[in-house]
Amino acid sequence: MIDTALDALDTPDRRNRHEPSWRREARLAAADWLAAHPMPTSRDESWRHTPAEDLVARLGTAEHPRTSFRLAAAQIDIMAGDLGGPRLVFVNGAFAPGPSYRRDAPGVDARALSEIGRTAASGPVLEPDRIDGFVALNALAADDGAVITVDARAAVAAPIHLVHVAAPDLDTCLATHPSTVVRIQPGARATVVESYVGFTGAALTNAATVIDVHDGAALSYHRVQTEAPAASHVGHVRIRAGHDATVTCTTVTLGATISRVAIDTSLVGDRSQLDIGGLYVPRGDERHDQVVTTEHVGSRTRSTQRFNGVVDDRARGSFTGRIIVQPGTTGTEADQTNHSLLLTATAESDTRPWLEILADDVRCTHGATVGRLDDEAVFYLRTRGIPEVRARQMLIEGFTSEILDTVADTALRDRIRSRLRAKHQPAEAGR
Amino acid sequence: MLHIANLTASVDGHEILRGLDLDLGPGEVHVIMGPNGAGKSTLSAVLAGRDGYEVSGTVTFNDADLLALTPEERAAAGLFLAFQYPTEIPGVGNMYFLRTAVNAVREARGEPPVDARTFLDEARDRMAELKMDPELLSRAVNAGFSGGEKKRNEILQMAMLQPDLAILDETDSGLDIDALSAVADGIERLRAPTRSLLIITHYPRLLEHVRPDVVHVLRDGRIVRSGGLELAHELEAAGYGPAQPTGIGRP
Repeated sequence: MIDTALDALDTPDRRNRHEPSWRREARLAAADWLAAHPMPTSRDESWRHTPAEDLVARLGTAEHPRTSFRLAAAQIDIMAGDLGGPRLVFVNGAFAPGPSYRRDAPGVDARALSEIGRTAASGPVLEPDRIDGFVALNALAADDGAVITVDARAAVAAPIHLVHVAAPDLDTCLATHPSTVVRIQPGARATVVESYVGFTGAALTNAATVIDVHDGAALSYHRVQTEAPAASHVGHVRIRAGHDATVTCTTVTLGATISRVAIDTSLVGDRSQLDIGGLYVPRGDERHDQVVTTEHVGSRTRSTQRFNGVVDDRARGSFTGRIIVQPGTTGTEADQTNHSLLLTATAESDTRPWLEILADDVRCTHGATVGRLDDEAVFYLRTRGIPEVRARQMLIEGFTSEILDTVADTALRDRIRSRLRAKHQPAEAGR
Repeated sequence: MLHIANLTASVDGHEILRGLDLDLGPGEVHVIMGPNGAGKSTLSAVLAGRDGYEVSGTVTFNDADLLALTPEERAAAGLFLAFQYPTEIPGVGNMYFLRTAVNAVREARGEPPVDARTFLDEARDRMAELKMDPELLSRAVNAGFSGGEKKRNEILQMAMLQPDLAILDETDSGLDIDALSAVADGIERLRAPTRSLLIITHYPRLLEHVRPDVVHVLRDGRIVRSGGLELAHELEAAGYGPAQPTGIGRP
């Protein structure tokens, strides 16, 4: 499968492409890394709840997209929304200027790598001890990518929106490697939203995002995956926070048969804060896994991980929450919760707190619950005239609102809410 | 309005209601008193349609066979139960809940939904009458409410849903004097020639505010005495008396 990826790279337009040196170096480093390491298996600790072998097998048969696919802006408005700010659209990993919105946002530079060419400033380097085969493959095989820079002290109100569209062929599974780099310069404030959407059909999305939030900056980052039911999705988000930086991160997984999202964060600077919330709602035979790492490197840092799963039918929802407190730090606060709502007797959930506390001055809490819809609450709503199906839906929405309420952008929040509702409606109506 | 004949209810083979008869006319206020374990809460639960009971007998409500209806159909037919222990529902906003309930009942009756503005004005007026903190409208349903706030919230729902028959299950228990008078005023305000009330209580306190037409004593799963307000006072003075010897009153 790596051969397939390498083959895909070995085309004239790729060899001659005008990409910045950091990107070329990352490609070479990724190739070296892949030559020396195997792809993940479900025997790996952090892949325990994902059928990694199935994903790797699918990668082996998947093809690299070679043709472009034209989409209208209105179509993307429907699939991913128009959040009012600049929007960059990538279709099967390639930048699509047509449906993108070039809106003027002072202090924001949002461009595709293919537009920037060799002039791009320095970019992130591969971190060999923090990646896996999928991240390396993304670095190796990404066709294009988004590069977002928010200037120092800029306060950007409208969300910067990146949309990654999986547009599968009729009879072959396409593997795409969306890549995003976000830099929030010192003292800046911004909201970045990444939407992963797709058309019906088999597709494998292997996405990687690297975010640096520099000293005193504040970022809200929301990642919303609503790909087709037949899709597979692997996502990796790396976030580093500087001194006094504040980060709010939300990940919502609604689509794909197999989905694994890893959020790997480091509170590098003193007094940095990081709140990560997540929502996953697998149904049918879906497997949705979230692996979250928060590493406290600086002192007086504070973090939360709050993940809620709603699991229906025979699906399985998993959460691994890793908290690492490095030696020499003081005044660390870390809180973690994972609540699972199982809608059927065959639904499964896994919850795994994974704490590595290597310092003394730490206050760390974690809690997990697994439950079913409260019959008493269903009855209460029904006695007020609310039909049973609607009552159950309201309670599911109530359960998800703890996480959704952290999405400050109301348009985005309403959008996610209606997608959640749509996902649960058909099964409920059948009961 | 409500006609109950020979109603029995059991849980796991244990009979709680044992042939209960009751007739409630339009606009009437009936009170049910009785010792712990007499079946008072079971009666309200069975009338509202709670699962888990084996039920026999007949209950006719506004010409409908009540026992054949789902809980939501009973609400649409005009029945309301104010819970003894209102359920907390985290994450579901009180205003959203109230509006969904009002519109669900309207939809079931073939009426158009009430618009947001009209609804909000109405809810605020009713809350002011109940001396409720308007903030409670934007909180989750009953979540973290005090005992008194929960009971007022029940009366608020009743005021918004305008039922034909309201069953108040120990709505007065656990209230301080101010809360009791606010709740009692709320109930009194809903009295209408077409609206009946079935008040389940341990204490005659509430009856100082809401004058009943009939007082019933429920004991061992059936109505054993009925009378006027003086019966409530007599019970308060003398108690319900010793339990009846086992076997008496059984077929």
